[in-house]
Amino acid sequence: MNGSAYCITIAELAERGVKDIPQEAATTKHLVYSSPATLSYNSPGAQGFGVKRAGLAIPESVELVVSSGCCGRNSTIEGGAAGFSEKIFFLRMDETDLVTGRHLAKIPQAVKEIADFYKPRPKVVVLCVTCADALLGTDMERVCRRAEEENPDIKVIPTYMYALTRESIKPPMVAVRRSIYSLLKKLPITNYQMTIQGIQRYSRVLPIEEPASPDYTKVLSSTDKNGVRTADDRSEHGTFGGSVNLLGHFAPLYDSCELYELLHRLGFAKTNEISRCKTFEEYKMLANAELNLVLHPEANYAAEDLRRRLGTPYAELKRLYQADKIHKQYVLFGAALEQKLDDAEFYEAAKERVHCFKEKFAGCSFSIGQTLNAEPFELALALARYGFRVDAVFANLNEGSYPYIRQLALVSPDTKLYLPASPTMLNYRTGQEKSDFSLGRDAEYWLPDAANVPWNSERQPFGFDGLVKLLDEIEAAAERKSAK
Amino acid sequence: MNGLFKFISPFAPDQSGATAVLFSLGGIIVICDAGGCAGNICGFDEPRWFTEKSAVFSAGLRDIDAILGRDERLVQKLEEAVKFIDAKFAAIIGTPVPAVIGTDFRALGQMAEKRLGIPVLALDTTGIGLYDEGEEKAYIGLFSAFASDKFEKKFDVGVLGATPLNLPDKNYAGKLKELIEKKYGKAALFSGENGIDEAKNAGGAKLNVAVSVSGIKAAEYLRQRFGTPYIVEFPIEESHLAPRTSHLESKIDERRAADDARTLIIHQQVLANSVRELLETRGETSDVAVWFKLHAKYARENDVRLSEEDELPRLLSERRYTKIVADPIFLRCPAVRELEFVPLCHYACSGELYAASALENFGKIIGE
Repeated sequence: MNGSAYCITIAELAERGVKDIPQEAATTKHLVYSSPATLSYNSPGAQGFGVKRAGLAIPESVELVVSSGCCGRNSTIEGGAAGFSEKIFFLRMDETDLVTGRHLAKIPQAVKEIADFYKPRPKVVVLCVTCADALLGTDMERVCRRAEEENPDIKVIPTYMYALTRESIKPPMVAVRRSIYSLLKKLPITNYQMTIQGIQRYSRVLPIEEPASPDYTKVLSSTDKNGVRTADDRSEHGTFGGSVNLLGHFAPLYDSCELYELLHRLGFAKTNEISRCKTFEEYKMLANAELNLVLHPEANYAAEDLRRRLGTPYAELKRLYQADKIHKQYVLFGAALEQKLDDAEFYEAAKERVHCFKEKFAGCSFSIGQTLNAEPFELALALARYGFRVDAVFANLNEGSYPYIRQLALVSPDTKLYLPASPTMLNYRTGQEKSDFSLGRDAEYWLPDAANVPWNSERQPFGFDGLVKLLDEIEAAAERKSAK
Repeated sequence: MNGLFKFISPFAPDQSGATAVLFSLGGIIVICDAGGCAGNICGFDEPRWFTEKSAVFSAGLRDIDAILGRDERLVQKLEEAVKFIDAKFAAIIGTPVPAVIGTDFRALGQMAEKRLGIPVLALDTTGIGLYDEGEEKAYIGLFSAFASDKFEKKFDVGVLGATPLNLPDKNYAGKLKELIEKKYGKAALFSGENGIDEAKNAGGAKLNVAVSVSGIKAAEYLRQRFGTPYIVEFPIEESHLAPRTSHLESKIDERRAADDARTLIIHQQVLANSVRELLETRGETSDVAVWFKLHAKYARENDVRLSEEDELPRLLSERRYTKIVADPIFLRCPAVRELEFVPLCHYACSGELYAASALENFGKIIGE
């Protein structure tokens, strides 16, 4: 082999700026290297919560994958291992179907057969279609309506596993997040609903790129009080009394996450997550929420759709690992709801945990992959700001990472960025980067000698609780390594 | 209804089979897809991918590439890649996307070969066919492109079909080679180890052994081109085959005549046949069912090819089998769960799901 794996320092990357992203980072411009570390990127349907599994997030649903055999194949293994295979059914496309779209006529009957077969009878059948239908231009909404007409007690919705559209504005994982909330419909007016009407004019609450930005306050000050409840109409206890939905993940946050308590302190009586809904009836109640809180940026499209359809405002809270920024984000969020959000006990505990960790692991170095419950550049920034050396980040690049990259360049300019999808990574000698710790399931492949923390659980870490858990995991990995 | 699978999920497709043949040969393998197919091939059908470095790439097609049929752009990407990868050849493997837009693989291969200056195998797999079809195409492509008339005699036996997808355990190829060498002399697996050299010298083999139906067409090609005879056999250690007594033979014949085989073996045909012969030496008659290619010449009267899921419970009921030897994934079918079940893993069916116990299961069947 000739040459070496392409890498660039964070300083150089920041200097070039978002207008001059390296060619190697543009996955449309080159072949995409398939290393074990890039599987989850290359194949969005393949591992963890891909489109197929995500579609099953709706309670009491089953899924019909309409595809050629190759697209359904991974569910054999993933579904078997994760225990959802019995909820996935396949309608196989043959070569004639590929050309003529003949398979679409079979879908209503297939829905009937799986609904009759599955016990208990499902309330929802999620259709999952693939690249072939993307190219055929199939009108899946119409196909679903037809299937519903023939199966009146079943809701049928489409999800799109269109890998071809991965770099579009609505890539598969964005679209599926919208799909799983698409069955929420306005419910009869309730007290909660009055609140929704009151705040339906809220514009989108922008994510905090620089945590000092007072976006929330600006947004909420635009609320009018034209005869309906608004933020000012909270009860004498300062509460709305309604519920809030957490959008973005297909599994719940850790029970210990402080966000639940903080939302309670803000007056929300109930915090909903789709993954905690046990029945379809419970799921439908998500439509009653006063606020949608986006915890993963790929759910913004779903939140916007809900705002348009149901009038539910939304805000985005980012998953951060810098303790001061987590605190600042909570403060700003509280201010947006015109409340003082007191997170002191959690903030102090996190600061104390960071302090102990820094003392114990002073001088240690880290490398970070991309298959983990973190934004890799934000995590790199957090560790660098805590005083650790960050040798390398192995992650695909997108514009949304640049705010962190710019800050990382100030505190850790020599950190290297490797682009896992670049074909030059075939020349990466496994282990050529050396760090004490590798973070991310994929990072173990690049640095096999480092103590690895996969940090890729289905239960989602968030906030101070996430930070503390991460440090605990790193400490446990160090102990395992030294025990070896 | 036809095409609907309620218990069984899809088997390894033709694109995975083609990749399995070429994976370790030192070429650039480009899956002509948007990313999902490459992920499925590598992550679920190619166990060597986790342990061996291989130049497998996704073409990274986007909707506009597909709509405009931008083959030129794919060739450009390949050109860029060969600048820093020392590849002996390139292979472009088809998926549903090029199948839908009707990519001319022959033309694509020729254009790429001209520009790259290395041999290019362009295989028109579709993601719809099954893995053995892809393997068959890849073997033919491989020998057509590389088998040299100026071969050297470097081995005695060529082995076709010894990819992980065909085996009862993903790591069984080494054992298979050992068994073949014991019977027929020095063997080449044509799917790794010495890379493309073995394919170049395929003409020097005294014998070819097809251990799967996927290798028969290539064995026939090599017979026609070089006169190399071939046999179709999945060898099992002789010591595990109990000698048949005349009493047993007549018992078997009696049962066959009465059409009362009570065991059904489901696997790829050649391995299933070997298991059947093994069971026969123990006085047990059985039929073979395959979800893949069923070669008429190597099938017995009651052997069947299954294609629809409904056919399996129907077959079990109609023929009143009492025992089934098959991949554990078929236990998802309620009718299978009612029978005595002997696990015999097949990577093309269940991949890694039962891989941990695959060798042990096979050992139990053959008596190791």
